[in-house]
Amino acid sequence: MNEKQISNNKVPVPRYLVAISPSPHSQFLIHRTRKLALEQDASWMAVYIQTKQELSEEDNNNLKANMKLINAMGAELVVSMDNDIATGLIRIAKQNQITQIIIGKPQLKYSRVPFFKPSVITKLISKSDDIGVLIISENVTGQKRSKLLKWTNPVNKINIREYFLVTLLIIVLILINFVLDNYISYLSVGFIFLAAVAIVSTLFKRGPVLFFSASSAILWNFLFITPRNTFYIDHLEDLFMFFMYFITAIIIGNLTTRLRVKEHFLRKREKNLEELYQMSRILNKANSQDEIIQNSLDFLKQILNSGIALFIKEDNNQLSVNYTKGFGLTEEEKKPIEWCFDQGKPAGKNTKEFHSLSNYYTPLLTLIKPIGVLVIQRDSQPEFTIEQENLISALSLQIATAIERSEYIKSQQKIKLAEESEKMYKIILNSVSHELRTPITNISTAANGLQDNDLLKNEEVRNIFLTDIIDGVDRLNRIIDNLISSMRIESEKMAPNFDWYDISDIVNSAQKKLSKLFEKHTFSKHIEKDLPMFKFDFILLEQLLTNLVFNSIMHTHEKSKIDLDIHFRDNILKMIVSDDGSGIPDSEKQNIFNKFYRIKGAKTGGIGLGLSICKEIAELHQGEIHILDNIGNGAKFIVNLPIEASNVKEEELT
Amino acid sequence: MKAGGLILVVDDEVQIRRFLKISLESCGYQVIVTETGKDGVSLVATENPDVIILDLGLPDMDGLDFVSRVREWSKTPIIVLTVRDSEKDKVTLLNSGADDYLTKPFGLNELKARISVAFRHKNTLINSAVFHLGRLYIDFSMRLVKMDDKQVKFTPKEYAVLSLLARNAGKVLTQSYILREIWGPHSQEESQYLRIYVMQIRRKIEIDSSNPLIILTEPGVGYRFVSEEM
Repeated sequence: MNEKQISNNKVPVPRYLVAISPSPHSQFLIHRTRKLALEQDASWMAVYIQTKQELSEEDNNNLKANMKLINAMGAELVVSMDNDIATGLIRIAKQNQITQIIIGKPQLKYSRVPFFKPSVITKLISKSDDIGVLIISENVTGQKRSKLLKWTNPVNKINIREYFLVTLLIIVLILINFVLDNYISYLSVGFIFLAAVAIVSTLFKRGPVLFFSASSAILWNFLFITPRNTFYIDHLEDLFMFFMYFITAIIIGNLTTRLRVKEHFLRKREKNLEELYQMSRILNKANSQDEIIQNSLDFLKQILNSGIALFIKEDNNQLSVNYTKGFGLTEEEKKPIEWCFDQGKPAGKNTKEFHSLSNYYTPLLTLIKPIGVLVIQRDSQPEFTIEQENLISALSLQIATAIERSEYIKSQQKIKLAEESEKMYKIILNSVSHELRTPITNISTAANGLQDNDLLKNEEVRNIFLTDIIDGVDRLNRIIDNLISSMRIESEKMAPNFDWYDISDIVNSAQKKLSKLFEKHTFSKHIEKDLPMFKFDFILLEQLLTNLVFNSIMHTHEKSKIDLDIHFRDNILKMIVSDDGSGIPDSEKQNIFNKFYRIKGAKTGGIGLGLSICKEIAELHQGEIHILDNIGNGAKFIVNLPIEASNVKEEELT
Repeated sequence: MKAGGLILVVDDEVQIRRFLKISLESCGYQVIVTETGKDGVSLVATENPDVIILDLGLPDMDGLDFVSRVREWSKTPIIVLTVRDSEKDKVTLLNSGADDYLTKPFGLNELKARISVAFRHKNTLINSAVFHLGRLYIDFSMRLVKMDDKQVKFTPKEYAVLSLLARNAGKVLTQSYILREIWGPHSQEESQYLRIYVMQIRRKIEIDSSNPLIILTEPGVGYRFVSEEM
């Protein structure tokens, strides 16, 4: 390509742009471009520049066919508005880092005769700078090029109503002017006509405006310029004036309608852009896939004013309805939906496939694969215009991309979760195997000792062995209890079993469980008197308390003092477990509630689950747990539970 | 303690079967063991044991199935051996006809106490007109409760709860059973009233109501009024 790029030592990635028109020849161009791109492993896009020319119905259909072909090939299609095709193509080419523009060479007999302006191709080449222009000659056989590129501006339909209206207006104007003629000169009448031309040109299409301009000029001449009732004009001045009028009227008419057409296009474009913008805003705001689907389809339904349904391919490879609004789907629609998904092409009404059905099916395509099918209810509504079809495909691309993105995020999260659980699994394995092995070793040593006849005879030794076995079993039991609780809390099936209980019951129950361990420590409890009943999960809260107290026993010196304080203030049940041990360093405080976290150098006997379970249980009761330093020394665990208290007064009972 | 009587042990674990057979036989009971629920059911029919000890988690039969099949024609007390964290299962089993439960691992003394309670309650409730436990004395016919020979006043509902628990001394009563017995069939929402009554009763009969020794709470299941054996 150009020298600059070569000197930069970069091999430019070829990127093709094919300019399409409503000509059937464009299909040939599209195929050629695709082939070219495939051969070089290059990317390509197609561009249609919309000028202010209106298209005939045949042109419209050709253009649609061309666009569908591009969509079917999965290429990017850009539709842009520009007065000049060449300028528009260059603009888009530059925006998209295009290296080659591919354009058809029109056959002369059908092409626009370049009267005043240079042909599109000449202009394109002169403006293309470092973009290559590839002109491919037309070799369409048997297909006639449409009338579009003939010199005349085609008007879709002669609008009889408009012609009738302007004719009526002329008659009325003439009648008024006949009346006014008695008071004013024919020159003023001319100005009235001219003003009417200006007004008419803002209201009607070009044809009727030109008709109005011409006929008003002629009638002005015929009826008002002397000699009257002839086309003949006496004075040179009048003749001059007549021609001036004629030219002015035509120019005004032409200019105004041109402005209007442009404005119309701009407004349409702005509306499309606004809709696309709104859609992207809606999609950005949505947090979940569900929200994306709900909100974007509500919006689509609103702007298309039709019923909308969406099918998404599920993990089980089934297309299933994710959304439907405004209408129901019938059994016979299964086939077109499947087809649309498999082929990645629209189907249904106004398409080649399944056109007998009343709905329109368009695939939700992402860059990688189709992810679903959008169904738009058509029934008796008119065929989509090109703009509408483009808008639908742009919007569905947006929706598809948003859904894909949310799925991607979801799968990323899954991967992360899997990685984390892998890590967790290793930690569990390590700490569990270590913590299980210690008591098992103790039990097995003691049991082996008991098998020894000599040792068995010594009652003191025998008792030591038996105590070892029982202690070991207790320890194993505690570990298993915690593992089970942790699993129970984590599995989503676990729903706390809330009921009314007396808080001192859980204290007793926990105390009983730990009674053997209290022998070497001082435990004192202070429970507020006359507490009401509270609603909580007995087993879980008892475990919380047991774990907290056990934690204090485990991590403090022998003969340490452990206090339990329970009171109820401001609708919060507070449980405080404090000890006079060595406390917990500030740097560890935030970690101790993490699963399988153990303070370095801590005594064996736990697997780092106890406090994490406490935290989870507190949270299951909408509460929280935190740790402070005890006054003096030691640690102080505080559990705050905003649990429901019974308001039944004892006096109410009989 | 020599007791006598026939105990059927249904457990799939050979260690537990061996342990129960040896230790219960040493207490003077006759023990037959089986490892499947199916055999267990037919042994209940052929041997007519006085007490059944049933391990949950048999490979061939759900514990609930076993209990309901036996209950179709037999009132033999069933003591269920369970693991922790199956409170709902325990309650379901108790409500569908099991008499008591023991959480594994359990001590032999605990099991013996349960067995003797089961023997005592075999067939019916305590029918004697008076109940005596430590300082507590209840005369059911007079609706009279005494602590250390001093009469204690109870409201009618308190008395109803107390007497229900005392007549079933030693046995665990599920919360839903107590509610049904006292408040009628549609009373499962009244659990907070039950708690409050129990708290009030404890204040009147326990030395330290926050550390009860007579009416024990069975976590997640219900209440147990202690008996002399315990």
